[in-house]
Amino acid sequence: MSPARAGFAAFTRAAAEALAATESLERRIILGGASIRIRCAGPALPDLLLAALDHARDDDPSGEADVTFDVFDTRTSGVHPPRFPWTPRDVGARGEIAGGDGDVRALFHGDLLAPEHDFRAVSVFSRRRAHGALWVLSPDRVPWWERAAPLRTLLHWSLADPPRRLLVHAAAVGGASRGALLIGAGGSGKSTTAVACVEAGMRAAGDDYVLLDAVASVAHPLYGTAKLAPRSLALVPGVATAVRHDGGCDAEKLVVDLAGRWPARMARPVSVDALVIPRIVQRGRTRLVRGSGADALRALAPTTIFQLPGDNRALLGVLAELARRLPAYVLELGGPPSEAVAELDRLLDAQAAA
Amino acid sequence: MTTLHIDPERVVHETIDGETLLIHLASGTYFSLRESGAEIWELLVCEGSVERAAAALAERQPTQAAQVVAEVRRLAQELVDHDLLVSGPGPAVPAAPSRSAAKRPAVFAPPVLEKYTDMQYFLMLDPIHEVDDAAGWPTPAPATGPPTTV
Repeated sequence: MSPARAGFAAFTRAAAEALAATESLERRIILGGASIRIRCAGPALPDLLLAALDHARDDDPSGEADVTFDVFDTRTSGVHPPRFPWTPRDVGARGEIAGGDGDVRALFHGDLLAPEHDFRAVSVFSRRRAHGALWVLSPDRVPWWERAAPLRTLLHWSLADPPRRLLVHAAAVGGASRGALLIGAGGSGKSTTAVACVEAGMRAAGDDYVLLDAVASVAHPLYGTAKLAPRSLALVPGVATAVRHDGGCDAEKLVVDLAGRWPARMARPVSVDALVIPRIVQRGRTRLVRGSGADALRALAPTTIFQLPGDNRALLGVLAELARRLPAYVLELGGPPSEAVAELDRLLDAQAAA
Repeated sequence: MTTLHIDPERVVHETIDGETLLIHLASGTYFSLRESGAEIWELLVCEGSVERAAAALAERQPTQAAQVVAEVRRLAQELVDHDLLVSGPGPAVPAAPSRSAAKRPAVFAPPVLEKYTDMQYFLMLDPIHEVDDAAGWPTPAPATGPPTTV
């Protein structure tokens, strides 16, 4: 049995034991048309891991779910994970376990350079069984970034189906009919711009990760939250009331519950008609200038592939086709976010009129 | 004959607007190859040899053949140094429509290779380490080293 398959067998067995040993909560959500059943063992993890998915809640599900995730932690359930069925040589870059294939995947999340504070967790998934599990050592080890974008690895493995559907590291904002992906690495101004757009009445499908349907050219929302650096809050003061303080906030980033505050603005997929690369400039007004497809691919592909690895060649091919097909722009952020909103609004109006 | 090939498990690439984006999966780095670089990359990957790639490009740029050959050699070495190409013969690469030829200027422009390291953070979360024999992975082995004296 390959290391990844051994991990899948061991952790799904432990998850079943934890679900039986605790009072479990079952939640159904719909993302990009897929019905997902999430079973959480014990009371601690739902608050941490399901809040960002609340916008997709399906309280009246009909029929079987397309996929099931089981989530448990050792501290709450008392169920210890199996002795790790891997040796160091089984664990590759980014924690991916060797022996993963088109069916089974396994990944260790953690940073052993910081063993006292890292996110000690494992994700396993089988596509054929449509079943995944997430084990967490303890609820207090779930970091802010996992609370803001929970279950990302399992969602990536279960929902991505290139060349049609893939998770991408991007924000998506839209007007009445047209929309754009905001692309770039962390710190480029993507989240602040996306949050400002939502505050101003535009629609969005996320500030950091979206489910892209590359054939239909639409971005489906994954998470109802956005992550903002505390200093950015002064730039978008209208969202202060949407900052979550229920364990979703810490010193590094604020988690903003956009879907809770403006549910209609994150309720539908956003059309993807342009690729916009925010770039912070030191001075001058905010303005949109035409960029190249190469600029767009450089801003979108490495950050997506390094964060959401899969069939990397296919993934890069899909992103390159997108960059060839859609116009690219650089959004030079020199002024307040309201200027960025106005520039994007003008761009999307022009796209709709074309 | 200096043969070269690409290791698809380590490097993925796409050419767009006359620029080739190369992503080195194992190191978390990525590269932009511009000017004549995209065309040279295409030739190196398809021809599988530095000499054949240089000859093919020199034929396309006959008035600057000597410079072309020198630049192909220089870039090929740089690509090997960055582990973007591997020395030695590899499997045949099927001919594909060129994405770089349409961008070729009349005057040969030396290739430009730019390296980006801003994504390496994601690979620094690397859990590989010596394992504790009793507890198993991922528990690190107890630190060993020379005893400290006060």
